[in-house]
Amino acid sequence: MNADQTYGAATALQGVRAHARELDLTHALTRADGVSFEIGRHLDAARALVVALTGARVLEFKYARELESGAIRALARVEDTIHARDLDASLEAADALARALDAALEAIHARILYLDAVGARGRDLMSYLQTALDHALDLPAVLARSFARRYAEDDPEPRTEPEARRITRPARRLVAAATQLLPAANRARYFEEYQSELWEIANGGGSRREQLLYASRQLLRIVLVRGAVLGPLKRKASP
Amino acid sequence: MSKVSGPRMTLPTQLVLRAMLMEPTKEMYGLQVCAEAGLPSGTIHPILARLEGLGWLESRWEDGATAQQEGRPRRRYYRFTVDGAERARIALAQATTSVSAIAALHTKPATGMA
Repeated sequence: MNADQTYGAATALQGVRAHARELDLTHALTRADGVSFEIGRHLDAARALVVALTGARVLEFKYARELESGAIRALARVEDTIHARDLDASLEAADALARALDAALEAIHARILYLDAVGARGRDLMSYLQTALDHALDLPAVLARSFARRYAEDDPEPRTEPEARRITRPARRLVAAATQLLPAANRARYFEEYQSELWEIANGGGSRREQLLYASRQLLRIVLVRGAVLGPLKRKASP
Repeated sequence: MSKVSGPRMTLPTQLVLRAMLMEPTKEMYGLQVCAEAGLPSGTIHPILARLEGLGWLESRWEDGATAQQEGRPRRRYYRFTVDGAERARIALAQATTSVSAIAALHTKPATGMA
C-alpha cells in the first residue's frame, strides 16, 4: 500500500463531496426527473471510492464488492421510493443505506487503527484516510437533502404565525426519521433533545432552511450516534 | 508516554473538549457547545454521545418547571464527570494535530447557529 493509492481514495471521496455540494446549490433534486440523474452521478462517485479503497487494500476485495452492491441496491431503492413519494419506504431505504455505510466505516476505521500502530508512515496514511472518512460521512447528505426538499414541497406551511417561532413540519419529520434509526431505548431521549434544539433555533430566528439544515445533519450523522450509544453495551458484552 | 484510552481525537472532538474545558464544571446544552466550539449546529451529537459513553461526560434533563417557566422545551445538559475533565486535558495534550488539517476544517462551510 502506498501514499499515492491512499491519496487516490481520498480524492475519490472528495469527488463525492463535490457532488454533494453541487447538489446543495441546485434544485434538481426537487424535480422527479432530476433525482435519477443526480443520484446516478453520486453513485458513480461512490463506485470510484470503492474501487480506490479496494486498490489501496483498505478493504478486502470481496467486502468492497459487497459494499458496492449493497449501496447500489439501497440507493436504487431510495430512488424508487422518492419517485413513488412513499415516505415510509424511503425511510426504510435510508435505514438500509445507513446500515451499509455504518458497517463500511467500521471496517475502514479498524484498518486505520491498524495503520496507526505501524509508526510514522502509518500515521501519514491515517491522516489521508481520516480525510477520506470525513468526506465519506457526506455521502448520505444527498439523501437527507432530497428528503428535506421533497418534504418542503409537499408540506407548504401556513404563514399565519411567525415562522421563526415554530418548528417546521419537514424538520420535525426529519429528526423523527433520524431517531428511528437509533436503538429503541435511546429514541425518546434524542427525539426530545433534537426537538428542543430545533425550538431553540426557531426561537432564535432560525429560518425554515436553517431548521432543515439542522435536521438533515442529524439524519446523516445518526449512524455515528447509534454507534456511540451502542459502544458501551458492546464493551460490557466483551469478555 | 502511554496514551489515554479515549475517543478518536478528531478536530471537532478537540474543539468540543477545548470549549467545554473553558469552564469544566459548567453545564452546557448541545447548541451551546456548538456555538462555543465554533462548529455548525447539529454536528456534535455523535461526539457528545461518544464522550458520554466513555464516561467523560454525563448528561441530565433540565428541570421541567424551569423550562416551563421560560416557555420552552427542557434542555439536555452536558458536563464533565469527576475525572472526565482531567482525562480530556491529557488526551488533548497527546493529540497531534497538523496545521494543514486545522486549515482544512476551517475551509468547510460554516452555516447554522451563529
